[in-house]
Amino acid sequence: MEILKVRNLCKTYGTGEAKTEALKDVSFTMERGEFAAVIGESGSGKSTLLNCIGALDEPSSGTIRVDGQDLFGMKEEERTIFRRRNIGFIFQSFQLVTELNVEQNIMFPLLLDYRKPDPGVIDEILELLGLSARRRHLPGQLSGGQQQRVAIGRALVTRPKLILADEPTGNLDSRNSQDVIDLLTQASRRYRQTILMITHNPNLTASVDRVMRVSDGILTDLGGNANEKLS
Amino acid sequence: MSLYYDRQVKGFCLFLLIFALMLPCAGLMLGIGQMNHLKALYLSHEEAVASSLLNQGVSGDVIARALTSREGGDGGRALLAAAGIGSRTDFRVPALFLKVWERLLRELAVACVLLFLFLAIGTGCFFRKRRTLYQQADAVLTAYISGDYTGRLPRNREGGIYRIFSSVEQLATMLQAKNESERAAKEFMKSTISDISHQLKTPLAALAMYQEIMEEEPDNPETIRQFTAKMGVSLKRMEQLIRSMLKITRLDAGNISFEKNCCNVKELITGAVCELTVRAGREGKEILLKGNPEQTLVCDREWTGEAVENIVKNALDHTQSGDQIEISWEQTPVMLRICVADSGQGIAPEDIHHIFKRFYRSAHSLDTQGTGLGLSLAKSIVEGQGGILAVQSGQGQGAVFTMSFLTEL
Repeated sequence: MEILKVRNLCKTYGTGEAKTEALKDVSFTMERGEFAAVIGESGSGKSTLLNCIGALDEPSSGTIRVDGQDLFGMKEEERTIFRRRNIGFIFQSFQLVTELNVEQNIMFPLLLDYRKPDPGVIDEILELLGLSARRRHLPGQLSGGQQQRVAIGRALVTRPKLILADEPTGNLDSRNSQDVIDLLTQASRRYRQTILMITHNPNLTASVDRVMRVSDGILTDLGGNANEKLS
Repeated sequence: MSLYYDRQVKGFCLFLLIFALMLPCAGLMLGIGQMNHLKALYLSHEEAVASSLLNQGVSGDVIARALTSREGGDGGRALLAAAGIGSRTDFRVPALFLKVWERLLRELAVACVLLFLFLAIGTGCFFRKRRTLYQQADAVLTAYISGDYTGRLPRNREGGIYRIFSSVEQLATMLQAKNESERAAKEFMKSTISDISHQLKTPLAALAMYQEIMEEEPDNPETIRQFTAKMGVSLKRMEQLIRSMLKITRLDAGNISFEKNCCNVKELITGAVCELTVRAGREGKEILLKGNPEQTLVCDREWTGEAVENIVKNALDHTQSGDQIEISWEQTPVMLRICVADSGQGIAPEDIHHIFKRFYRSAHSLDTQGTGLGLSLAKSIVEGQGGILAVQSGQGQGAVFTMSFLTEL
């Protein structure tokens, strides 16, 4: 089942001499349950790609379809609600709410959509991320790795169609980085969650299903690690 | 599909009707109230007249007689006509008041009718919009029921009904996914069965051949000895193959329950590789263990040990005399990682995505004796316990296999 379909995506900034082509004719497709990584140097256009897919930025041309729906064929209000219900985000700088504890931070997106959180689901996520003992702690009392795990929980709780992770390990040391990647892999397998991650560190791509490289706005598929297991 | 069959909608319409009837009644009551107020004002006016006349010296008798007089007369009538005042004890209020009353009733009636019409039109519009929405949703859901998932419910708006649609969408996605995974499972079963039959065909054919040969030369002890030995090898291979196949199929189908206990990692690993250490010694290779001796892990001891054994065996199969195999373990914030690193030939890039597949044999592989299931089995065991098995390697650079298990900290 196709979750993400990007066709001929182009993004250009500026005009005339200052014109920069951040993305040049990018096309790819992601199936459900795939964990893909996009690697590239800084300035290669990978953050722009993520922002366009996450409907945070508008492309100059091309189409982006999430679960069959054309993102930029919708009105602004509809796009906002679509993003809230179907796309999850994980940022490099965690972006937790400092006044809320771990449990509340994870529940936050549900509350924003006026939904009542199911305690069983929250418990399961806390257990998957190894945070059950710290459910009432505030972000200020957690280490960087723990905070990023809370951010992952928050992205998972609404079971979005697609999770976009922008350098999730950028602010973490190597042990925590590998942990975070492995937790994302676990989540991807357990919940058949589709995850698109961008990173500048190619060493972290050992356990992802598929790797793509962006260089000067051009995307190339480096092949995958297709898993034949019955899961 | 009319909206008016819905009991709640009917109830609401009834409520609107009652409310619409209550409006004129309320208006009427207000009107009566106003009239009574008017009467009171009139009374006080009469009072004022009486007081004024009294003060001007007209006798009380005259005033009273005047005020209570019921008999009309021409003179009186003329005066009345001029003054326009009617009887005050009568139910028929003065003409002035009657005019007010009539006008009130008229205006009230018109206002009520207009407002009621307005209410009816507004409600009708709302109900019609809702009905269109429900019909749209009904069409899409009917398509879903017959397996057609191409339509989409309208769901990118705020409000209770749209959240319900959003949840229905999620349900539809789950159904679709389930259908797909069922199909994948069937395909998988097919390929597994063909794998099994293919793998068993060869040793069975060999056995048949040996038996034939032995049948032809029953009196030749040399032949018999040779071929019974060969048969023994084939049979053992088949037995191993069948046992591994059964294990891996049951693991993948989730039919195995792992007994998780708190195990000492060092003991687990040492137990797993004790037989292989002998083989390593024989082949001139070294197996080293490195890590915290107190470290524990909650897992199934037997199965996990087997996974480690398979990985180390694979390492032994792809290293040469003088190479080293290092097994290390480390606790990270969320995981316990067990790494098996060898300094052997490494894995070629075109193979690395396939090594965990069943019966996969690399073109560069030195190992011809194995069943081809060792790594697949290890992966199934690790993932069955909720862990991850990953590999990093380059041609000629050795390989590092990492088993990661979730721990609570």
